[in-house]
Amino acid sequence: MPHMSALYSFALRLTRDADDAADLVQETFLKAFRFFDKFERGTNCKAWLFRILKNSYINTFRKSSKAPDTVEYDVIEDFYETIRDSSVETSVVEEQVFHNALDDEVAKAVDSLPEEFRTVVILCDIEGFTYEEIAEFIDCPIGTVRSRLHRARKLLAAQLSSYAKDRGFYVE
Amino acid sequence: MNDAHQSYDWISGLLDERQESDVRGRDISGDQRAQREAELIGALRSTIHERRGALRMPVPPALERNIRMAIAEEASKSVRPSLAERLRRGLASLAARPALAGLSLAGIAAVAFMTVFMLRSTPGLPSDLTAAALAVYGQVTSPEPSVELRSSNHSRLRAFFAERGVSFNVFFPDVDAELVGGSVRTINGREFPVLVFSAAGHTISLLEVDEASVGDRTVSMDSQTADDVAQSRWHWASAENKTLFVWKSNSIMCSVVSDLAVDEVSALFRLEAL
Repeated sequence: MPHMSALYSFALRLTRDADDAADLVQETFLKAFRFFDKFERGTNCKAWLFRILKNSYINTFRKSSKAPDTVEYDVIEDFYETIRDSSVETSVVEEQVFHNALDDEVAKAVDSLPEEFRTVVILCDIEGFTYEEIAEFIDCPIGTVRSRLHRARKLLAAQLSSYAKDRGFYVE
Repeated sequence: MNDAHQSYDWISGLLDERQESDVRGRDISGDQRAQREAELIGALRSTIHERRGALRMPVPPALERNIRMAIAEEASKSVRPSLAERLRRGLASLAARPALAGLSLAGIAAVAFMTVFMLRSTPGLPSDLTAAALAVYGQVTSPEPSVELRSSNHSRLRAFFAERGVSFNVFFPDVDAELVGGSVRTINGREFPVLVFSAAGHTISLLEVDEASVGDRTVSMDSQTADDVAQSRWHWASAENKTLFVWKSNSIMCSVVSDLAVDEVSALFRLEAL
């Protein structure tokens, strides 16, 4: 079944619940089947399926999501400002630090992002969507996509650096 | 805003090879901070790209089969209209034929009756085995259930199936449920038997298809069902309060559908023992 793994992973990261994610993916494929005549041939089928999933999530699951995001945007902004400055001053060999990160740590760092940041980083860096497709998906201008993506990446970088420090792998 | 707070989000655009005017051709060689940020984001970006596979969550094994079943059920609904709808269409097509315009009311009624009779007696099913099995279940649990011969007598049912054109020896499974009767359904012009059971107030339908009809593609099976049946001896799926089991008994593919739970159907048909 096409793109099932990508859809399920995304659904799980949205709902944070395996049963809800499975229901969401099933609803997505059923809607795709019902409305296949609405799919424009030659366009990106994966992007179309992701849009159906997102709309289903908003309409059905978001209200009852078991673990909604509770991080306030201002808190993230403050955190972002602090890591933005500190990261510039450090002499860390990032490539090595990130390369040594465990898969679980990378997944945990992605999951720790607030929804709007998590969504863009998953869509761009994991699923390979273009900025244009993401902009349509989240209904924002391309500039906002770039801005959120950059912030998401910096938050991830800070989180992975923090994990590396905890494990003693931090190179200074 | 001082320089330290200047936005560097164009760095991500640069790394992603964007063509926006504030990104395209941008030179960071003279900007130490931009270089550092590019190193940081570049390294992070590479790490995420490398870990794409690990970041994908494993899909639960039952999910795909449940989705296939839900789609098959959807397909079975769209392929086979209700009797009332088929009656309406039949009458509409009759009314649309100019040659019938001169027929008397009795003549039209007779033709309409024949049309309805034919629609009832030759109900075509979708060629996909799962969709066909779900459509059969929908028929036997409809407000006007279509069980053509109500009997629990195997000999009578065998004779009925043979008379109605079923070309193989029908399999009567050893099941902890009451045999209500049987019907014949058509897939791609070929006749197949349906057995209907009842257990604790629940209806269970069993559509049987001979292996030859799968081999010559009269009846199709999706690859997962075929693989499961071949490797695991039975395939199951559940969606929208329905359970489907498919297994092979000698050369016959048995497709059971019920609103009972997976373990209940499995126990009734003793599938664990297969």
